[in-house]
Amino acid sequence: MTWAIVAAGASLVVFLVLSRYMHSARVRDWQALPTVRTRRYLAEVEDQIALDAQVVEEAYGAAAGSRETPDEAAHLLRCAFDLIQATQTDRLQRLKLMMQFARMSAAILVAPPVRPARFKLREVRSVAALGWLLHQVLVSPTERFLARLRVLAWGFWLALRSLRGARDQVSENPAIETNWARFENALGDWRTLDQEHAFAVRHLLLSLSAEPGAVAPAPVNNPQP
Amino acid sequence: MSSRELLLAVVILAAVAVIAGLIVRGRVRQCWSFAAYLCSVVTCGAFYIQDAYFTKEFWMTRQIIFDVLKTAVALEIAWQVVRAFPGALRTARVFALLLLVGSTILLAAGLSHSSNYLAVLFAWQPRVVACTALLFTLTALLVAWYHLPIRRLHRAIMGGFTVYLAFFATVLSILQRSFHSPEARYWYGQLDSYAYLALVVYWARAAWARAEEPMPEPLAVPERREAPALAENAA
Repeated sequence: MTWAIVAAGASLVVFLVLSRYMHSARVRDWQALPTVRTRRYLAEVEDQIALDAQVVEEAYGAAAGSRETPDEAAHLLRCAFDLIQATQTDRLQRLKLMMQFARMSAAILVAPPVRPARFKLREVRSVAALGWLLHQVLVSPTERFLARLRVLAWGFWLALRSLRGARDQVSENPAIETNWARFENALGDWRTLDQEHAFAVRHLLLSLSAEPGAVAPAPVNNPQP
Repeated sequence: MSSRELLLAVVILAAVAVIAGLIVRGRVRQCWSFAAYLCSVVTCGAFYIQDAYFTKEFWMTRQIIFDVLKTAVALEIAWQVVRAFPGALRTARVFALLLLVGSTILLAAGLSHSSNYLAVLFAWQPRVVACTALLFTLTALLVAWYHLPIRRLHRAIMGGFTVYLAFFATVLSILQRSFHSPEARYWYGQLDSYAYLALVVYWARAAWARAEEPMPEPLAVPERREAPALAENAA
């Protein structure tokens, strides 16, 4: 009976994999895999990331600048939060796509782990520390890169949760300083995650381009001159 | 003609139809061992249909041939699926080797007591079936993990084989408990034959399918240019 169960389990796995298989979508994904020709796409993505960060920065700056009129400041902060939320969807989708690409890629450079010390929020720092630990334990570059992407996705999720909490508190009591500080801390971590995410995009696209002599991207906290 | 002979004749005809489909549609090269397996089904079936060869000894010989070819089909499909992807190929090699070593140990353990008909039927066959199904599962997991494209024929072979193998292992397991009853043996045998016929008809459908699905072009790796200094020295 044991062997019948093993065979049935194996059959179930094959059935599940084949039932989820969509040939045309898979062929399209492989044809869309970034190559040397798509280096231009990197510049576009980097510009978009920088633009999003700038817009978020300005929105928050406007909110922080008008703190003398608390109601207006709280309204602007809510707008800033909505902006962050909107741009984050794009980032999470990109990270998900990159996870798939990383698996599809056979040639990938080794990426450094996300440094926990760069974050202020305890929960984000814990996730980054877990990612750092995984980086030491995992063997293949692809697994390490996937762990890095997962850490970023979880980090974004946690940072947004903190931002949401701080936004609600600021909306209730716009005059209390600690609520603003909490929002600022969460925003700082969100910015750091954004920089790491931009680095990951660059890293993956350069790895996939696999040009002889391609320069590895500099880590976020130590930019190349 | 008895119902057993009639059923076997239909299975042989269906297998011939699959082979013809593979040749006419040019799909033989997608899995050579599958064509060899079907040829063995036709040849062994042509013997087994005759009363002179309807023996336990011939059944065991036939099963050994089928088992070897089924393993070959599983390995060839795994290779065909991953051969264009170096990273996946490396993983497939390691896991296929581990599975084959594990299967060999399991099969050797199954034959340690006796090698008669009942031992082959109830001790050896379920292990072979489970090991072959695991080889197909390895390919399916590689396809899922690396997001690999896989041909329609390979999907039909993998899906059909694993479902049938699970069914066959279950029938063997139930039959072991009621082997003393000739009626049970007859009906379980019939049930297995109908399931196998359904499998071969399913393969025939995949073999005769008109349109071939497009596959992605293999990624071209640019050649590394020679360093200028070396080129000058060579000149």
